[in-house]
Amino acid sequence: MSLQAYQDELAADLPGAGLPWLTALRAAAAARFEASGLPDRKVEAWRYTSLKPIQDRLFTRGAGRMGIVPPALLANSHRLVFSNGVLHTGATDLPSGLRLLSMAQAMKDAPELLAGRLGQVATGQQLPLPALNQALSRDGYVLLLEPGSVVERPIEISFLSGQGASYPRNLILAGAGAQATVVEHYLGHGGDIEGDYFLNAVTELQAAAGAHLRRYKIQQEAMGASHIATLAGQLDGGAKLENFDLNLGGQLVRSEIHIALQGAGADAALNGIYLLRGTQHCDNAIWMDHVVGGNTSHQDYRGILDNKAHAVFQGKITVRRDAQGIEGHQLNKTLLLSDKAEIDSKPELEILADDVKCSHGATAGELDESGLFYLRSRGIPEAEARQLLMTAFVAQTLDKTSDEAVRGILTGLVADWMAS
Amino acid sequence: MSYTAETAEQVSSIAGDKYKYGFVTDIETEMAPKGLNEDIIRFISAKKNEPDWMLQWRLRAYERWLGMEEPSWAKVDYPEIDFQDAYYYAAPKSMEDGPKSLDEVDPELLRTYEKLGIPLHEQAMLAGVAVDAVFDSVSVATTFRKELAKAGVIFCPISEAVQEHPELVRKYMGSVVPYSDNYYATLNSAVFTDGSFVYIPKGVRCPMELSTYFRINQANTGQFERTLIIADEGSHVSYLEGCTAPMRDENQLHAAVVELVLMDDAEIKYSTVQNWYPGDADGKGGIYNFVTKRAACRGRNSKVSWTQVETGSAVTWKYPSCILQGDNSVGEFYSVAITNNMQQADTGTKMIHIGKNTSSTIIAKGISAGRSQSTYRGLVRMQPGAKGGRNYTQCDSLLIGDKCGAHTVPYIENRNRSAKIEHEATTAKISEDQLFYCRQRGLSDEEALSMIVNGFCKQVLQKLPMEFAVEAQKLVGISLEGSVG
Repeated sequence: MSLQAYQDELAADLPGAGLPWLTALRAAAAARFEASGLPDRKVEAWRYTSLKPIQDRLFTRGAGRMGIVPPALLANSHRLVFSNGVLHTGATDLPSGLRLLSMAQAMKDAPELLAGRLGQVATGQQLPLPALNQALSRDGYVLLLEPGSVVERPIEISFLSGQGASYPRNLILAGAGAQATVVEHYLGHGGDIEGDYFLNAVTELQAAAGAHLRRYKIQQEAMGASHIATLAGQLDGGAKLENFDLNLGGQLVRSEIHIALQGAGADAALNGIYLLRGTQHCDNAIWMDHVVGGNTSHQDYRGILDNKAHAVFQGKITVRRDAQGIEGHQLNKTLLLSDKAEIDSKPELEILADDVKCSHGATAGELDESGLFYLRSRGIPEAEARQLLMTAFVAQTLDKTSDEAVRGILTGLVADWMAS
Repeated sequence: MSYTAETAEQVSSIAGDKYKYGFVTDIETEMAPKGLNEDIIRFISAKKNEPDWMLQWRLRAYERWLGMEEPSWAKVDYPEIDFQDAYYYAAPKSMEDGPKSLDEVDPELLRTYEKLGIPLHEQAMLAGVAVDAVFDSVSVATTFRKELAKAGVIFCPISEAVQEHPELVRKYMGSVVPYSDNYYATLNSAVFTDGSFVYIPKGVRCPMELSTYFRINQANTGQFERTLIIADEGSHVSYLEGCTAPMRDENQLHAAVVELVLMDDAEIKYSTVQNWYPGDADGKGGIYNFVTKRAACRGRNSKVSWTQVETGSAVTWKYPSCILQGDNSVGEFYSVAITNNMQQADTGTKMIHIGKNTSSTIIAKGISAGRSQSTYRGLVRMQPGAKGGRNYTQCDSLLIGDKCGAHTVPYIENRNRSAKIEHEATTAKISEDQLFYCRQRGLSDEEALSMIVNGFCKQVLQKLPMEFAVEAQKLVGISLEGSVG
């Protein structure tokens, strides 16, 4: 099915179909996707990841809601649950200053919240997959923070999928000085079944001056699933973003992050861990754009690959002309546990200003033999010693998670992976 | 006034006349008509009196080239090249009969070399260096051939090797860089006019460093050298390549191919100082340098070392690479790339680890000044069989002034668990503290800059053979003249 045919069938059925601005936004996005199509491996950004497995799945209909609500990761959170890409359970008892609702609901009941705000983050959104998402998305979450509002309880969004294709579109707008912690949890129905669904999610994020956002994405899709996610964010002066990307599930995973640092004092810390086995493929692609001077960024991505797993890390730091006084650092480390596993790493720097401190580092290899020997000489069995070393390897990234409760959850999930 | 502001001011005041090797030698040349077609290739081949297999190889390459597209992935920007608007063959006319010794060489030519600072007799005697000087497209003088022959070393123009050692040329030419390799290499395969051929027999340590001075002289003549070096089992050779070119306005295309073949326990050290005309302060003129260099470490324990100091050319596109096929083979890449004014350099290396326990080291230093753009682009790949493979990469960029750019594009691919790859890169501007310290000790700005940059490049410059190292250090200073206030 082509996008046009799919849209014709779908258009009147999409939420907010009566809104001219939204229809125009969707049509423009559809045109962008039609013009480029799915990127193939000749496109530099897709050099190591083939989208062939998903090309026939783009327009399969979602099966609608499933009757299951997965258990929450966090106690005491404001929570939304999505099922095959549409809202299942909403949130109640929200504090003042916070609006948390589903995109479909907002389009229906409060389109003024979205008009002129949805699809406004320029970075990353023009690309084919986010454009396809914009054209076809039915739902997602909308998180609005009034200026100065501080949300104490964490916000947990669960995306449970089991069938078809879904296109969650999320919008986070943080007013000046606002603070919040969001956990996006993507998981497959039943946890361990071989679901072969496709999900293409976009989270659009705008942080006004001095806003502090923590976004943690935990990806535990079914092992047969294809998961494509894009975070497109822009940070004004003094705004801070702490983002964590834990990738455990999925057969074909691409996690793109596009951040534009648009004001002095803005800071983005992007951390991630990928733990893969079997024939899993996980591609983390990051574009960090230092648009003006005086801001900072840090990236720390680590992974462990077993069996025939294939991981890709691409991270590009751009410092624009005259963006002086920039600090940008990037680190990617990967452990290979098997001779059939593969890591392709492409840490890239593009620097057009001179008063900068930028660095990147990348390593790939097996567990440190001397460390292993040391532990074994102290009487620790090999399997346990390996696990200790692997735990220590990822702990350095995990420790950068400032939210204690979330750090505990991440640590637990990592430990489960190692033990299994 | 801050250094930054002064730097910017100084950079803008740099004039193209800094290029001290800018002159044109007036020698009658015999040229093929402008343009590129099959007839031109037949003409070149006939001029070189080549056997039919060589001509057919050229023609196959040409046919292939017609169907290829010019690559656009490099971070360089230049006007479209009109390949029909260039001459593909120019030979100094006085060469037709071929000189028997240096005495027979056109004195005008010799004077050119003297101006370049490479008087053949003296250099050959004093430095013990054999020089195979390429003047435009034909090698005009070769020294020390006899002494090398005593050791069994063959060092001659490639056109001569085609005549005298066809079995070697036929076996190895194109075996490392096939004629279908890439746009410029394919073009080179079709129209190459000359270059050097070196064969070091089994167990021979080449008694002297071999050196070729390339020089582009004839206006509008593309230079398409082809160099082939074969190091047989247990042999060792150090090869030096250095370049200067006269100043002119029209851009000149240079698309060379260098192939190195290494057998068991062989070692090749290949050093380059590239100082072609970079164009004036506005980016007018200057050489386009699109080079394909590759070494195949076929034997066990073989070792290849690329060292390059790139200061010239308007556009550089160059990735000397190592295919580490033999077990325990070693590849090294040491590079300094200095860009100033409007220069653009996209350079780096590829290390393909195939054999067991292969190791590679990459040290790349980029210095950008003026409005120039410098890119490191490199690939390290551990194939599934590269058990125990090891790579260490370090690329550092130094920025002088706020209008230039420095970019790093490494590709790191590991398909073997026991292989270890380490990569690190930094980008920073020249330290004002260091500049201040040097000035406070009485050094002028330029001396201070030269000293700091030389310190930054030391790891690489140390790898050059002695006589080159001295030249290169001076060159680092000259290249950055006026870029700090």
